[in-house]
Amino acid sequence: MKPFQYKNIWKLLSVLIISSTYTSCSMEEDVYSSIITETFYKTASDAEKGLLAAYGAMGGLYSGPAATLVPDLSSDQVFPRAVVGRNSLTLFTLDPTYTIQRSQGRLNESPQQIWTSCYSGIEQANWVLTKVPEITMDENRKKQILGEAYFLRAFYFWMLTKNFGEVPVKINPSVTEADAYTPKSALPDVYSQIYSDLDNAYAAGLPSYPSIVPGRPSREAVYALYAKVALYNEDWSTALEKAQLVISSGTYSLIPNVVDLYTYTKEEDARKEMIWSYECDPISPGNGHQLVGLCGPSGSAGVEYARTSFGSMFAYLSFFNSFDPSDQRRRLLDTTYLNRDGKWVPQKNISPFTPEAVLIKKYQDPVSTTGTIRNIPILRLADVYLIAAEAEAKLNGPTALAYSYLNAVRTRAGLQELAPGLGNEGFIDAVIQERAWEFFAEGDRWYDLTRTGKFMTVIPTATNHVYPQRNVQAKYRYFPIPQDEINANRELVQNPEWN
Amino acid sequence: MRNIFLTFLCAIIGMGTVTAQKKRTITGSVSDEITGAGLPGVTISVTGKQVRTRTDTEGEYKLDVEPNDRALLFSLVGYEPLTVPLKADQSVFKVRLKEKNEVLNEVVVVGYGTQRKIETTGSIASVKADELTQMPVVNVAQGLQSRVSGVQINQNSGSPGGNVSVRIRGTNSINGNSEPLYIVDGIQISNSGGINDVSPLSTINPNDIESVEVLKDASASAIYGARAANGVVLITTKRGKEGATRIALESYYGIQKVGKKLDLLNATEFATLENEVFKDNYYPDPASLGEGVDWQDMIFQSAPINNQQLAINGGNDKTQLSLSLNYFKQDGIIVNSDFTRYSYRLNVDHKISDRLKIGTSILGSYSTNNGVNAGAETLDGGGVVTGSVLGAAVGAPPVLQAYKPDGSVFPFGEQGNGRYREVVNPLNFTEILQRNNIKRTLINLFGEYTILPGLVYRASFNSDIENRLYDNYSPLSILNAADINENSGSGSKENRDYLNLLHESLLTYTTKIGEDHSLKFTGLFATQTESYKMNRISATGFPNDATANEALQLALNRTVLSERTSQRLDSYMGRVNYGFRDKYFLDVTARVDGSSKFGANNKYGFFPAVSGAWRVIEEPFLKDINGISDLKLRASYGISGNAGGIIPYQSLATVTSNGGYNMNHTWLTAIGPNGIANPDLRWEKSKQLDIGLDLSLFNNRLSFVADYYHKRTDDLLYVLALPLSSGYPTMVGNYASLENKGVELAANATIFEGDFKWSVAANVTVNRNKVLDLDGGVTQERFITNYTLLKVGEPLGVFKTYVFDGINQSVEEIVPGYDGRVGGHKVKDINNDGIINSNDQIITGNPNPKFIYGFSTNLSYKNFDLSVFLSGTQGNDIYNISRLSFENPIGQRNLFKGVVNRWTPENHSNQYSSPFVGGRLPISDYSMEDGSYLRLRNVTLGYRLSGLKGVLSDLRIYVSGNNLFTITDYSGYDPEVNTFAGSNKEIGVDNLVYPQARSFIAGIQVNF
Repeated sequence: MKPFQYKNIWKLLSVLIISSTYTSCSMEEDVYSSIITETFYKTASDAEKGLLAAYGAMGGLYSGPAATLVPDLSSDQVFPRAVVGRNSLTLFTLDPTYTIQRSQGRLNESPQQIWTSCYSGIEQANWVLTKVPEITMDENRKKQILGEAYFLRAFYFWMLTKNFGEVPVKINPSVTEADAYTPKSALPDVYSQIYSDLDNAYAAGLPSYPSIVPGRPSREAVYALYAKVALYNEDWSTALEKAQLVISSGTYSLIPNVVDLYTYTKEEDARKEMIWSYECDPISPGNGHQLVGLCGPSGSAGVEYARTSFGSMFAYLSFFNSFDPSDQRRRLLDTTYLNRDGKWVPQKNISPFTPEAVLIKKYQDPVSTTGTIRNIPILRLADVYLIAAEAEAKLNGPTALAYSYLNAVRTRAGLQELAPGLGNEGFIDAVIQERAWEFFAEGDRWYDLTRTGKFMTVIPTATNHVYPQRNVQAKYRYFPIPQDEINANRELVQNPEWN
Repeated sequence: MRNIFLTFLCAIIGMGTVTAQKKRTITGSVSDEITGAGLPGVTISVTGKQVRTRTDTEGEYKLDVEPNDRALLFSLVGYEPLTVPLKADQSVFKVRLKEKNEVLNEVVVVGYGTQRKIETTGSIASVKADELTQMPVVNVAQGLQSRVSGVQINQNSGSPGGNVSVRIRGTNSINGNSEPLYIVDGIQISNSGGINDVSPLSTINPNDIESVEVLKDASASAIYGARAANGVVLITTKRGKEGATRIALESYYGIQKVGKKLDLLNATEFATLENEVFKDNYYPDPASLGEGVDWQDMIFQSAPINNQQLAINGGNDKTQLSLSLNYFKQDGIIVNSDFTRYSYRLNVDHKISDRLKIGTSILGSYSTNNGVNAGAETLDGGGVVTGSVLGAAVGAPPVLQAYKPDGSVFPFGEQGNGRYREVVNPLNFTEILQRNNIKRTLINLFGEYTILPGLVYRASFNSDIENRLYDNYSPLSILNAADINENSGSGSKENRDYLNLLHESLLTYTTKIGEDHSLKFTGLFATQTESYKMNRISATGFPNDATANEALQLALNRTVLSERTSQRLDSYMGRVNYGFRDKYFLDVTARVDGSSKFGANNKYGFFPAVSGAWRVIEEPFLKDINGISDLKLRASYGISGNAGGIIPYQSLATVTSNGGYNMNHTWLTAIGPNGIANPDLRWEKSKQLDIGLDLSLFNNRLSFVADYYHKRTDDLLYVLALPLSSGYPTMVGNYASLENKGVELAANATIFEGDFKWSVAANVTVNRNKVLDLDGGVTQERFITNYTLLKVGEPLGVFKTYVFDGINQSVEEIVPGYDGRVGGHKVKDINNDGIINSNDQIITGNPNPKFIYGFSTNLSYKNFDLSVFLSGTQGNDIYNISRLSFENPIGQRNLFKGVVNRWTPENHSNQYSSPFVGGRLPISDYSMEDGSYLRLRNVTLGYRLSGLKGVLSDLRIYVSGNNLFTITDYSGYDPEVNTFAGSNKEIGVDNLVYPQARSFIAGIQVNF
């Protein structure tokens, strides 16, 4: 072999040095599987995908579902088996850290989940509302996309304020760290933001039922939410006006048999009344929730309830007994069930820890092994009627009109019309009571009690031998803002009385 | 012996050829083989005669010889003697002497080169091949365990090929990788993975390793700058040597068994409990059920382990090669788990000329792992019972049947009217496929050119090419017949492709200034790219099990996932090693690294280090002290970096698949922003001070190495807790600081030499870890899991829980705020405010040991050798969360034996909760246990026959026992445990982990 020469090695060296200098210039990252935010929100498809991210937070809100368990387990209609910290809601032993839910891995059933999910959805809606207007696409659909984003943002802010009171109104996306810190707004400011978002949503030209795609809010859903927000804001005229617009549109109707609203085989028919729901399907990937399993008897023993159920949530016997026996809605509760041997199990054997268990039948799905068929109702026409009844009574007293709204719901449930002649307060109490029978286990009752201040007197009476005492305190008007938020957000202070 | 014989032979031949010729004068010089410097004081003698002289100060000599003199013998203290035959026609003999390979002149591998051990200024520990492979280890890290002070190695899973974590001087990162950088013949590889993954190190055959050097302090590791904050493990494989070709065969075979089974309720006790839980008298006569099925016996097995190695080694003065072939197969002690590895290695060194050398190392392997989910991470009791084989074996009702009459596995849902449909037959796990095939090739190519004497350029090109194929299939056959529908059965195939390319250009210049000053300059440029590609197809809804996961197109539902990332690292390094008279040494290193992963303004990091050593032994005042044979003081300070904490693209604002929603009964995926970008992302930096002492006594028969270190890591890649109202929980950035400080001691003693040899070695490591800052000061503490806490001022991994206070004996004792009930656990109201909440959770455990230690001893007498190896940890807590599942009498699952003593209205136990459907035990220190242990890791007895005639030159047979006993108070399977594998912050947690086996091995080593 020819011996190597010096000049050869210098050639080699210089090639190496030159090539390494050349290659070492680029420390930029080559991105393959992620999309840089700057390059997103450019097409119609980007706009749709971005909007879906704003819907995505619904999964976090309703899979626990924190949105119904938090108010319902605090309330006077249903109670939990004392496991995984659920009884901390029933016994009012929460702390701002949500310690027990955290330590049991059940933050997803706690008020903290409501806070986290709503702001996650708001952030995604903020991006859509900031970026989508610049996209060149079909203008009609673009308006609708923005309308849906406004609707979702309004819904999330309403969820926040009904649970936590004064909350940060954050309407711009978090681009830099500095954008991440927002102080609280006063209640009027929170509500005016929600009104404004709903006005924008209504102006967006959303389709009506039945042309609306299941899952998306219809034009009437915007006003249904508007009416309910205004009711909680004690803005009776707005509540009445929006509720009447929904009713008079004739788009939705009360279906004849109230039980059919909750029959898993009749979910499509129920859409005539279910204005907007949390959508579930037995698909994977897909959204689901725990209510099917929680409400069925333990050991998956009830053939009509679920493939897998745990017996973790029941109605108070006193609530069951409050129904008129002819009330069809009482059929959505039961004191016996058919087990897998074909035998009817008596009430005392429904649950090993209480002889007074009453089963909830609103979320039965005996067939699904993946996900669940059962949607969770959020806005339905019966609600709009009762909003109208209450708002009309607040504005004009217990008028015939107010009675007619209330009686529409009562007669559909198989009850007699309410005897006329009630005083103002008596009528409104009757409306609130009607709401209790109509919306139990739908995450509604607690807010009726807190917004009217009745919770301090009603809750201590809702007891049984599992929960013989319920020491509700005035500070539970609103839940504590999660300590994680307080720690990280220097601009925020805890709700009064929770400090 | 051989030399004397040769000399004698020369002398005889010389005598036989005496002729009367005249004297002549020989001249020449003697120099050092490596440095080329002239050696003064070398004795030159004519073999067999008294005639001798010495070299002068320049290393030159002159000597008269007789014509019949045959050879000259050159000797100098500290150098190998050299005999040079005299040739009649040659009168000038220039020779080079090689330094003697004594303890002091031992060479160690350091970063980018080798050094005489006495010159080293950093903290470096070496482990040789025979120690590494004394136990039947599947990877090098297992072989290092407890051999080196300052290094904590945990075999987190006893599964074949399973996870092992290595921490050099504590854990130095929170979110990032805390595993050291491994460099195999110059090729950089990393080691990380989950509890059920094959350790990447398991793809490298430990029998191919010549030595391992662990670089512990900043000066030793800083030359690897950006990747060295966790220390560096240099692995050198066996290279060919000049001389006759040697063929070595090694073979061992062994049997492994589970060391311990857990005590569980038997069928009678289980049935009695079920009656109490459900109050339904389901079992009218529990006593008739007897013991029932022992499900642990059904899943544990005696498992063979076997290793076959062929190695060929040889070469001439130009070319040397070393070749090996290896087959390793380890069956797991849990059925359906095993690890098989086929590997080869080829090392070639070739001298093209005196100036130019080239060489290569090629290591290839094909490994197959069949894994099982031994335990589970989630505390949720159901998860461990239904999702893991050990959980199922513990939880399976002993009253049920394992097999149907036809011999197939009997799903529990089909027994007893479906009462136990929520529990899984443990044998189901034996039918689940969880296979991982790994093809890996490591290649190093280098060329080394001596440009001028002392000036050497070396270029190396390294690649690590790895492909992993994951096969998973969960068959229909294990499902309850009633539960099978069109979506049943699941399978997947996943391909991962890793390519890591590294080029290094290295220029070194070695010189001496005068007699006393030695200098070595090193300059490096390196550039590295790492790329990763993966794709996965998952499917559910199989028509039947015939094709398993090999025809996913037959399944009803399929989902796909693919990903590709790449990153780049450029490095520039300079180093100066200065030595004065083998007495004082000073090393200075500076390295600049640039990584693509960081923010635009912070791509580059600067990592300097300085270190010095003083060999006090060279001082005159120590010369006269008998007994001290070496004394060296070392000190170093430096900064090294870590970029492993983050995945690529964290400094960029990106959108990702972000959930979705069911629209019109169809799932539509969403895309949205996934966080706030941090353009200021930068390197983690570790500053480390090391002060060390090397002391040898009594002619090196007793030696000590002691080091104190203090390491502070700042700018840790961690997350800042954001207000949740921002839409995101956290933001990645440099938000934390950690400290590790400690003392490490190693001692070696040769007690007897001669026919009866006895030596002992011991090491102790004390490390203290502390979180200094977290979240940039936003929060002082943060839960990582429901019980593991990160808290400023505390070490990583501490447990914060309620304090267990017995059982609530009456309603009056129940404090509200947790799921308290009569007969249930009581937790202490620490602040006595009448309610249980976060203020009542305190730090109740620390998983970091107070110290860890290893001890080994070797004895040999004539042909017999015996070695014993022990190791242990002291003072660490284990949070045994499996007890929160298996001491909770909620029905439908079997429990630990202690539950027979549960609370009942009659038996007021203050330890075990009463029966209660559903519910969980509060997370308290109820199941916090002392994890200290002392383990007899290995005893080996060998018999060697050497100097054999014929083809066989050397033979050794041996038997060994491994993990023979473990002294511990810990109640679980194995105190060497972590459910969270190599996690930095979730440590010392046991939710059932694959236990290490006890094994017995017989082996033979033959050299031809």
